[in-house]
Formats: sequence, C-alpha cells, structure tokens
Amino acid sequence: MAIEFKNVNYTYQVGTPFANNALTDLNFTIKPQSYTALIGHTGSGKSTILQLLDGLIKPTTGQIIFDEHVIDNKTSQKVLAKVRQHVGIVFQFPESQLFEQTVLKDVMFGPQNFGKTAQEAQALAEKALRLVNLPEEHWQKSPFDLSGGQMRRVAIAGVLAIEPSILILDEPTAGLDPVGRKEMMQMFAQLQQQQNLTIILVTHQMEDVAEYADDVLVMVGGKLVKHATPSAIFADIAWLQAQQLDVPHAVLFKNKLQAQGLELPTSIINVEQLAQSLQQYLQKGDQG
Amino acid sequence: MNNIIEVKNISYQYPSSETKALDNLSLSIAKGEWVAIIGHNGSGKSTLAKLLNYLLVADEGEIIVDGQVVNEANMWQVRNKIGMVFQNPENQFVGATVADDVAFGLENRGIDRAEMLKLVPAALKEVQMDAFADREPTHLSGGQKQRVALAGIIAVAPKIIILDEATAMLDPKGRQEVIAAIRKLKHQLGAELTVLSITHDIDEAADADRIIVINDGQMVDEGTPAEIFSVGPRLLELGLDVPFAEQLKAALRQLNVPVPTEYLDEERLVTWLWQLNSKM
Repeated sequence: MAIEFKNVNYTYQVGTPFANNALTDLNFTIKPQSYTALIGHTGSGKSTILQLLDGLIKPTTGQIIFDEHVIDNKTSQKVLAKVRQHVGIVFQFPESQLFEQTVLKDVMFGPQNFGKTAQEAQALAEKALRLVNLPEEHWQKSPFDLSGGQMRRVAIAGVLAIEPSILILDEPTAGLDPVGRKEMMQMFAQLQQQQNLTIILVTHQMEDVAEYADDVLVMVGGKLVKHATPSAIFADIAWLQAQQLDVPHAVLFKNKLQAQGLELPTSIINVEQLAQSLQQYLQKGDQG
Repeated sequence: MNNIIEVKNISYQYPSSETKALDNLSLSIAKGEWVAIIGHNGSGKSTLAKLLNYLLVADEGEIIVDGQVVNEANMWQVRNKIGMVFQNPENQFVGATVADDVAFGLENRGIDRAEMLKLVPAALKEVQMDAFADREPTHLSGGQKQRVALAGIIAVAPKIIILDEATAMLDPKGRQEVIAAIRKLKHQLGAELTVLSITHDIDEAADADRIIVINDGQMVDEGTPAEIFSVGPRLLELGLDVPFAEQLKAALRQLNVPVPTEYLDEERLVTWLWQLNSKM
C-alpha cells in the first residue's frame, strides 16, 4: 500500500491560545513495500506523523492518501477504522500492552476486535506467532511468564495478526541486548520480504537505518527537511552533525580510509558493504 | 589493594526460575575503580546489582561493601554507601518537581532543611539541570530525567554509584549527556567514588578501568577494555557488541580476507589495511 502526504498540516489545540503547529506543509510519498526510516529529535513531529498514519488524529489541513482512501479533516470515523485495519503499529515497549491470560488469547484480541470470529482469529494468531518465531510450547502460557524479548514478540504478533499491509515500528529494539536487537531487526526485514509489507521505522539508531532502510525521511521542528536514500543522507556528515544525528560507524571508518588514500565508493554506509568494497579493492590491487 | 566491594562465592536463584541467576560468583572491586559489567539480557548482571544493595538476598556466599557484610542488620548502612540509577527514567520519580525529587533521598536520611537547600541546587548544577529545578519531571527528556536521578544520588554523596543500564533507553544525545555527567563526577571525586556500570553499550564500557564479562551467572572474563575487546569473536558468541574495528574484521574474515587475530583499534586497523593495500 502506498501512502501519500499532500500539504499536510497539523495543529494541536486548534482555535485556542495554546494552538501549537506540530507539522507544517508535509509532502511526501512512501512507496509500497518500501522500508522507510523516519528520523528526527524528540519534538520533531515523528509521533504526530505516527498518529496520523494510524488514523488516531486527522490532518488539520491537507490530505493523506492510502491507495483509494483519502483522509482529510472531514473524514468519518468509519473510513478511519477501515484504514486502521491496514496499518499495524508497534509502539515503544509494546510488551507493556499485553493483558490477556494466555499468549494465544492476547494475539487473537486484534483480529476479533476487527470482527473476525474466534476461529478465524485463532488461525491468524497462530500464523502470527509462527512469524515471530515464538515456539508453540509458550502459546498457552501467561504472557507475563515469558522473558522480556519473548513478551515483545507476542506484542508484535498481536499487531501482525490483523494482517496489516503497512507496519510501523516505533523504536522497536529499545531495551534489548545486542543479540536481541539484531534478531528483532532481521525478523522485520524477513517479514517485509515474506509478507510484502511496507515498513516505516522510527528510530535513533543510525546503524539500523544504514543496514535496513531504503528510504529516509528527516524531520526537524515539524518540517520534512530531507527525503533521500540512506547513502545520500549519510554522505553529508557535516549536515548530520549539525542536526545532532549520529553518523554510522562504517561511514566514519570509510572516511578514515579515504583520508589514507584508499579509493572507496561514497555509497558505503554499513559494515557488510565496507568489507565487500575492501575485498574487491584488495583483489584488484593483487591483479594490478 | 583496598577493595570496596568483595563478592565471595555467591549464588542466587529466583523463586520462579529453574536455573541459577548467579552461580558461585566471586569478584572484587577496588576503591575508586570504574568497572563495567557486561553480559547479555538474563546473564545475571542486574541480579548482582540488587544483591549488592540487599534488594535481593543471596542464597549462598557473602558480599562485603566498604568493610561491612551485606546482611539484614547492616543493610541501611550499606544502602547509604550505594547510589543506584536504574534503566527506566520513568520509574524513578517520586517528587512533584525536579528539586523535590532530588531532595527525596536527603529527606529519607533526615538531613536538615537548611542543609538540603544547599545540597539540592548544588547536585542539580553538577548535572547541568539547575535551570529545571521547579519543572515537573514528566516534561523532561529521557536524558534529562536520568541526569536528575543522578543528581538525587550526588546529593547524598555515596561512595559507590551503580548504573544499571542507565543509558539503555536514551537516544544518542541523552546517552552522551549522562555519560559525560558521570565522567565529570568521577574526575572530580577521583578515588572517593567507585563506579560500577552495568551496560550493553560498548562505548560506555570502553570508559571503564576494567571490564567484567558475565554469562550464565558466572564471570567468564575480566580485563582492561583493550584486553576484553581483543577477544572480539568470543564476545559476539556471548551475545555482546564489539567495537566497530572488530565487526569489520569479522565481516572481512567471512569474505576470506586474512585479518590479524590480535585486537586492533580503529587507527591500527586503518594502518593495517593501508599497508596491505600498498604492498599489493
């Protein structure tokens, strides 16, 4: 599913003295099956965009277009509910939203809420639990008896069970250890491929942006200041630092090598690409 | 050397668990040392922090903090010596304002109000949060909240600060702010302050004098950051991060590029790659 923002503005508490412009003139398109990173500081407008994407709020002016659905200030709750079925959001620390007696029941809640029968919901829940690699032995346990990483997987299964075509991830690896973080990010990449999902990742982890995203939106003070590929974003180190955004380690290391006279492509942004370029470079030297 | 913390053969098993969280663990920490304890989630490192403070009671073994055995009789004195910053900035606020929150620990210890009026602003100034004294904690960023938590600890001047993944939930800027505040404090107090940092963050661990690696409730390695990082592949097996130079070496090794086995920091790896290139 493609998403298009057309001249979107959002003002909190419109018509009051506290009116606060959170988003200004946003125009961008997110392509179907893309993996888009949404980055920016606290207060840059990222959370407001998430709420708009999930139909929790409507734009003050402008339009958001999800394929055939157009959302503007006048859109009815009925249409919003329809759009919401296509959008799954994994909020920060999603495990804090678990509540049911068993893992399976918890994951079934979403589909049942959208009108599926118990039987259909169970089939969807089982499928989702397999997608997040949670072994069947845990399905009848209380979600609160699982480890933190497993609880998070249950919460993510709950989102996948509604079979969204757009999956929004808000800092999905916060609080996980390095291995847990890597497993989780690889799981999302795999899900995107298998389920043809459009992924929108909200993150501070530039290493993850460099590793997984194919498109990047940079928000500053409610405005979209850059929309480009990760290679293009990370090519401008001075700009990143001015925005107080981290520079991926591979980019910094590549620059050190370039300073020593090694000719490496500027498009390198992660460790695998750097290793591959170095291997090719060294081989070429071998032949020459 | 004068050890401020002595952990002798301690074991601990959570009532709901089938395995021991800590298994016959022994270690010591010298007065004034900055030690990082690393290990993946569930390795037992946070359990150790709670045992040191008598928030949990060891099944076996003995812990001595600043010359006192950690037990029920001594627990209040021991807790007075240790300040802890926990992982979640949301979970450690009790005051209605930033200043109230910092005063909480002092009130608990029955410090004079006149004294508190001096200590609270001084502690907030230490972490550069003095401008926020009258603010509500809810409106602060994560890094600011953790710095206020740190100010609450500075105000009571403990001999030991334990950071239990204190930066894990912060964005890069917040993380740098907190680490900078701790570094500054350690620099000022020198041997009077012992820092125990339980962390996943490899950059935070690199600041320490010594790193202790814990896995399955046991100490599997200890040494200076350079010594520990030189066993990069092993750290990866234990589910831990390694410095970037080690990550790159691992990626090159996978592509059959012969790389040196000893630890190279970034500068040395650049030199090594450059020499390899010029030889060809």
